[in-house]
Amino acid sequence: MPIITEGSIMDDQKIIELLFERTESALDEISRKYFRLYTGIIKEVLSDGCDIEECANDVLLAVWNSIPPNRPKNLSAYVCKIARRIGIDRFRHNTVRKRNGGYAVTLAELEECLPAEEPFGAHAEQSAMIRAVLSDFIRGLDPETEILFVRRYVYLESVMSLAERFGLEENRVSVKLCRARKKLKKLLEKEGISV
Amino acid sequence: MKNVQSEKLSDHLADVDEEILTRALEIDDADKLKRYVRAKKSVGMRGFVRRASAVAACLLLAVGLWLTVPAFFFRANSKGPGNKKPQDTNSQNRPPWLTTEEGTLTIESIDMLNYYAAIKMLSDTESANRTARYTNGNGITLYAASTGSAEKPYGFSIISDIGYDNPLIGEDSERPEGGAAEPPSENAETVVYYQLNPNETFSVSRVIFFQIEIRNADGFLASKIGTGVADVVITENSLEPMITFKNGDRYYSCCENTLLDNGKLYSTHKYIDGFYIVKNLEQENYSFRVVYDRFNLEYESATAQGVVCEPYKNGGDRPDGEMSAVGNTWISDEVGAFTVRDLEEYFSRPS
Repeated sequence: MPIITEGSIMDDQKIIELLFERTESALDEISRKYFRLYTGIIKEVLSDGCDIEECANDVLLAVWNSIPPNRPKNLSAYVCKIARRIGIDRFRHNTVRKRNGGYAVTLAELEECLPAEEPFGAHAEQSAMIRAVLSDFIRGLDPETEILFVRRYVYLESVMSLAERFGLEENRVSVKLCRARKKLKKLLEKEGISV
Repeated sequence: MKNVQSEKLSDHLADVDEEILTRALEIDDADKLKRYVRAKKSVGMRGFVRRASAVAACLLLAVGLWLTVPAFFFRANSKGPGNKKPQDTNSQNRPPWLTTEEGTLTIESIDMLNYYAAIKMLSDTESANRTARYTNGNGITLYAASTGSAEKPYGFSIISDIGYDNPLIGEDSERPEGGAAEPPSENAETVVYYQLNPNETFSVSRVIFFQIEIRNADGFLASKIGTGVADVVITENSLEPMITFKNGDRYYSCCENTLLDNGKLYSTHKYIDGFYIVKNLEQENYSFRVVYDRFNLEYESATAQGVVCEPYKNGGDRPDGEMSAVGNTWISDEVGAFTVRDLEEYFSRPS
């Protein structure tokens, strides 16, 4: 009995190899495999359909331009990071004073974490240390909060979507995120971190 | 000003360690989240258990008045696979691993540890109040029995963390006392070694068991474990999701590489050698694609159709090709943790 199933989704490593060979079908494979994932992130940042579509295309272009030389260990995380960056760049471009889209809400929530005294942005050279502190902070969260926190503040997923995805009450998700933000604020203040 | 700062914080959050980002991406449903929570809790339990060991010893003495020590550790031992077959009246559904294996078992590798931990989980699950299930292509059959399984926290050690991205290996890891055995290769540039300390516990959170028939005597897997009907054990565990093939007393294991739409892919660039996990992309490599009939992320009602062995990166010219599954697929979703000694004692017990 043949057990090979036709039409399987291509292995990430094969896709990366195709990109290194400059084979354009790699982009089709990425689109086929991760389209929903990366457009989902863009949709959390932007609300305009045209912007979303353009950014989705930009994601593929950015992947094409960056691999090679990059060889990501995890292609999905890499694509999501690019999508996030492109979406946010477009958001910044679109909004000078005006706030729209889910990203604005995310930013408003993150304001709660900011230390009262020192402004973020003062010491760019500290970014490695900040990265380590934030990584340790996230690792130190209880596992459920960890996943919720990263999905909310890195992948910009809405509270409602998180609640649906994980079968949790929206209120529970909100409370967990709120506690995590307060905890992060305390940590940042304690460490005297300014970014 | 605050908005700019928030954006910077947001950017910094997006720049945290890749392992964290990848994990959050991969845990994308309630079931996976539940399993992750359980796995992390078992890590946390490790320290607690150490602190409570003195108290536990006292309790053991008290309990020993009315329970035997072996019965305390292995509540399900009378129904273990090395001892007594379960009360399954339907003989055709009897799990194939339940052959009597009398004598002394010595676990000498992560392959064996993974295999026997999985078998114990399946046996315990089967004999527990919790339901175990098998799939035979016609749906799921549930059955239950009377006792539970022993659960212990896990722990493990690594001797190097070069390029290693397993989220569950980290701050608790420590070098084993007494030094490490000789690593399987001296080429530290291309090979990465991790060593499990056999004295620490190894936890398993999901087990899939089926059998395949290996026919191609010239194939890669055949060169490792020979031809004939072999057991296939797939686990999610405290090291890395792993597939173990067993044929008689020969084992071969390698780690999960990626998720496919109809199964999962394991590749030989990260394989087991004794108590080491070895990573080597430079050697001849193959992938094992496990194909299910209606695979989904829950594995529920999925029946393994077989394994396809193909060349992977730097793959050689001896793929095993398609190896069809023989019989049912057995699944346990319970969590258990064992040391090498636990399993050796359990499986060495005479019937």
